[in-house]
Amino acid sequence: MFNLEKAIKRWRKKLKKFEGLEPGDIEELEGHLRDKIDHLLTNGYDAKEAFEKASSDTTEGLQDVIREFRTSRTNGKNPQAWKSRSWVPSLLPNYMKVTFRNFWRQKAYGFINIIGLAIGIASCLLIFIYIKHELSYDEFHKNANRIYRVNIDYKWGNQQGVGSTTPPPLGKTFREEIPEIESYVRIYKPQPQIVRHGDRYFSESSVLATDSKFFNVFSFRLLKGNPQTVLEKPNSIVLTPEMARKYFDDESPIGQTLEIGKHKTAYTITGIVAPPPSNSHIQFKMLTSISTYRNVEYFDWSWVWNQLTTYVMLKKNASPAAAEAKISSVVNQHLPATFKRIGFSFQELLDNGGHWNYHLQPLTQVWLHSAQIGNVLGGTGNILYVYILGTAAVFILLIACINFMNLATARSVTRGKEVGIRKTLGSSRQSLAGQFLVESLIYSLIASFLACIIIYLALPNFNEMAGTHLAFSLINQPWIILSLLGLTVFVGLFSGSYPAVALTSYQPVEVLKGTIKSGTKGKKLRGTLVVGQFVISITLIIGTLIVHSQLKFMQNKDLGFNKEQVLAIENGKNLGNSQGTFRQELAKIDGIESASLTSSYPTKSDFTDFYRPKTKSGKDLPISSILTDSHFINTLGITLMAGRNFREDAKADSASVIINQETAKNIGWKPEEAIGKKLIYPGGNNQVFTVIGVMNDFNYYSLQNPIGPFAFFNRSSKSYTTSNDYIVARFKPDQIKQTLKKLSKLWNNFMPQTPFEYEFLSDRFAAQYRSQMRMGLIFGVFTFIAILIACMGLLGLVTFATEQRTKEIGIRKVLGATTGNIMMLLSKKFVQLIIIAFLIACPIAYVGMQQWLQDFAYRISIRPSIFVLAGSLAFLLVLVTVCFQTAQAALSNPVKSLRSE
Amino acid sequence: MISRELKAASSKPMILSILSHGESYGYQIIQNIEELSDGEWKWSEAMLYPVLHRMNSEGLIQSRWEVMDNGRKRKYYSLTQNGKEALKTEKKQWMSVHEVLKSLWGPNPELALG
Repeated sequence: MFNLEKAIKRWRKKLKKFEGLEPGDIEELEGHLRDKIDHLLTNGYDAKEAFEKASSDTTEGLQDVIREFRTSRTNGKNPQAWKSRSWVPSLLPNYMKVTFRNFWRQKAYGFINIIGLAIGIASCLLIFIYIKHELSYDEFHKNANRIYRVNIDYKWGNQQGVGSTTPPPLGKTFREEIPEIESYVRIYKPQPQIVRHGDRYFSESSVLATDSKFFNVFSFRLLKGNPQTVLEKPNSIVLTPEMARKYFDDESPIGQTLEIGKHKTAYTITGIVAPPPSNSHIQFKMLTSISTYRNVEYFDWSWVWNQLTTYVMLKKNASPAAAEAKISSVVNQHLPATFKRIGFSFQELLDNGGHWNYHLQPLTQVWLHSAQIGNVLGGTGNILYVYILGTAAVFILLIACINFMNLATARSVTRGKEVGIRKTLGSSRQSLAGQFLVESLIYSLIASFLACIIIYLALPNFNEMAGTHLAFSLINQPWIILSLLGLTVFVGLFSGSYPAVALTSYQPVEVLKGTIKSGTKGKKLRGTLVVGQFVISITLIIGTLIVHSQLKFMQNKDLGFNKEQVLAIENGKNLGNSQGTFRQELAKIDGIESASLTSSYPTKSDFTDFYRPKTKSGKDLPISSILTDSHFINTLGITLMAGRNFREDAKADSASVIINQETAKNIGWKPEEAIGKKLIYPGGNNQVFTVIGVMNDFNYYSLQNPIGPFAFFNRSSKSYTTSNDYIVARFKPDQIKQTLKKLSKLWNNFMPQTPFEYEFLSDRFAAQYRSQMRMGLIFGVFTFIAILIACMGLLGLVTFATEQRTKEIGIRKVLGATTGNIMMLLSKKFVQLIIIAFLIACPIAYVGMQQWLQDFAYRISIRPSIFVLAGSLAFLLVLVTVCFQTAQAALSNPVKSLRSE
Repeated sequence: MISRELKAASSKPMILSILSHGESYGYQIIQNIEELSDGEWKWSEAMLYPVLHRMNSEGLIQSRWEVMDNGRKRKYYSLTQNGKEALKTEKKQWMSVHEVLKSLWGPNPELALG
């Protein structure tokens, strides 16, 4: 049914939208419309037809009517003199004055707004600087876009993986057989070595050995020396200025020598290189020529001695895809020979579903996209963290902007009157919207200024927390000014947008008459926005709690051995033949429980190869192992499940092996059955080892990796050799400091010219989680900031709501309401909102954190108690925020609030 | 059809003339004009109301709201003293136009041409 009244109401609403029509005008036109309809009705039209005909006549040329109306009001000349013709509103000074006046009048709102925005902008910009730095890795190389790192991707039996290490012949072969490749550079990272000059000696770990093409391919700056030749001859070394000073003070080091390593080989200094920029994934303090390293030369035939990192530089305009397509045929051509030489068949590897291939990874992606592949020459970043932090930045900014909108609309009562008066005096909607935008822009400008100060103060802490070396300088980094400016304008326009639309829509008559009461408009929207803010905050809290408990879980989980109070002496190999004596002397110190001599220890590298159990269906099994002595199991607190430990007399056990439960399980032995069984080592002349013991499964690496088959061979065994020797010692719990002193003295007796370097095993494990710990910490801090800003906004809203209801509170108190009643009354609404937010946040956080936990082999299950904790935490924070204000209101004397009338 | 220019030029004297007969309101004015011209003059709201408002602000006419029995509001316009004066002037001008045209279109007008 056609409803005439409704149709007219709609028509009226449509007219209201036009600028320049005043309420009286609309009523006059409406009367006209009704007269016309009446007339048409008496002429036999039905209501619908009559309305359509009449309204089409009236609204036809409505624009004309309106224009005429406007000009008629101003006598047709000089349309609205106060409307500026330039893009700068002529009322700008007035807008600014009003902004500051408002700010001054309601300082609390002003401060909440500005500080919230400032923290938001600062966090955002800080994260932006961080992300920009992460993304800028390796872009300083002139040829960055045609340099690629060669990564391996292989599957051999049960073992598979990706990595960044490549064999010695790869670079040369690739350049010769793949026409797209112009040149290559190989980098080898030797073990830390003692470097000596005169009476100065230090253990240096930041030494890289590389080809002479290094400076042709990469754009590291050579300060002194000839880039073509500095790394050509064996035993050449290039230092950073820092290293030069360390060993030579202010003398010119060029041509001088350093003694390096056990044999005190002399290296000639051929050049000085600028330290690599912080955004380089290759980090070094010294560069030596790769030709110095005999082992690299020795393995020139081997395609499985994956110890080098190889970079290739393509010819200009060559297609990387075309180059990569040619790799597998090159590999297939050269690998079989190597396999044959070490007693395997490459064809068999392929037949068993294995593969062995290399891929090209663009240089600029190495840093962020190598979480799995790794980087031997420096660290790796993680693109995931870039995403996570980026999201956090957007969220924080969003929360701060929402605060601004909420507070602005909540204050619409006072501002509504202003809008009414401005409209009455002829201001158009656009210019009013302009006013609100100018206002929020002024706020965001001030906030940005504060943000700069915050960043300036917080950057050192952030750097320490994130392990970065970010710089903040407006002068040297023009892009920071640009992004700050962009951020300011965005925040200003975004947070001013809603007030600009909402506040300017008021009809002056209604506002001035008082029909719009106490900011009721947009109450729902404010509620929604608050819920949104707290969904974000609570999600972040839950996330932080889960990250925290996972990290704690990893640190405290039983690794299968006792990592506390175990110290490892790094450069045990320098002891040479006196290793055994040193270990004995060490074990005699009364603060030491036991000490062991070993080729490696947990968190350090292992040696993994295939072993064949001597059973009917003897399938090859990859087993990781280390070479150790009879004291290792005691020192680390590993439990033997069956069998025995090595004997003190090492020679007796040269063909013995102790396996872990996982190995036994994989082969199909029960721990007791395994004793006396044989393992054959096909890679080592088919030597036979007898299982003498089975130990419990323990985590050799971090808890991010599951436990695989693991074994201990005796140091006297000839299964393989390693160049590393460490001494691990278990301390008695008390007097660690004194024991350390004694230890250091003992070391100096044995090795007077070598620094005493040690590490505690628990620290090494902690270091494995460092990047996650860092992320957890950063995440926590930004979560705190997010919830802080959200609570500030809430405080503003509560203050406002309380102010609005001062009289009501007064009357209620007079009528007998208790303080508790009133606090309940004022808090109820907000508490409801938080509960809604909590209910929305829980599933979001659950799904998100499940995803994150997938990365860990050993992970916590997400227990409901975490949600309860997060919920109560948020609830508590909100309650404190709310009560802070409401209590004040509830406690105030009603006489005060009621007196004014 | 009456040309736009003529409509615009004549709207003021016409409104003044109609209002000289007494108070009236927008819809009625349009109706009156249409009836008097046998449907030849059709004014639109878009044309009338702006003129009314302008004349109002020029002080030629005045307005008042009247609430009808059915609760509807209507804005009535009437001449002010200025308006009455203006009507006199308009009348004089239009009559002179009328005289000129009448003699031109009558038999044997005396014209000094060429």
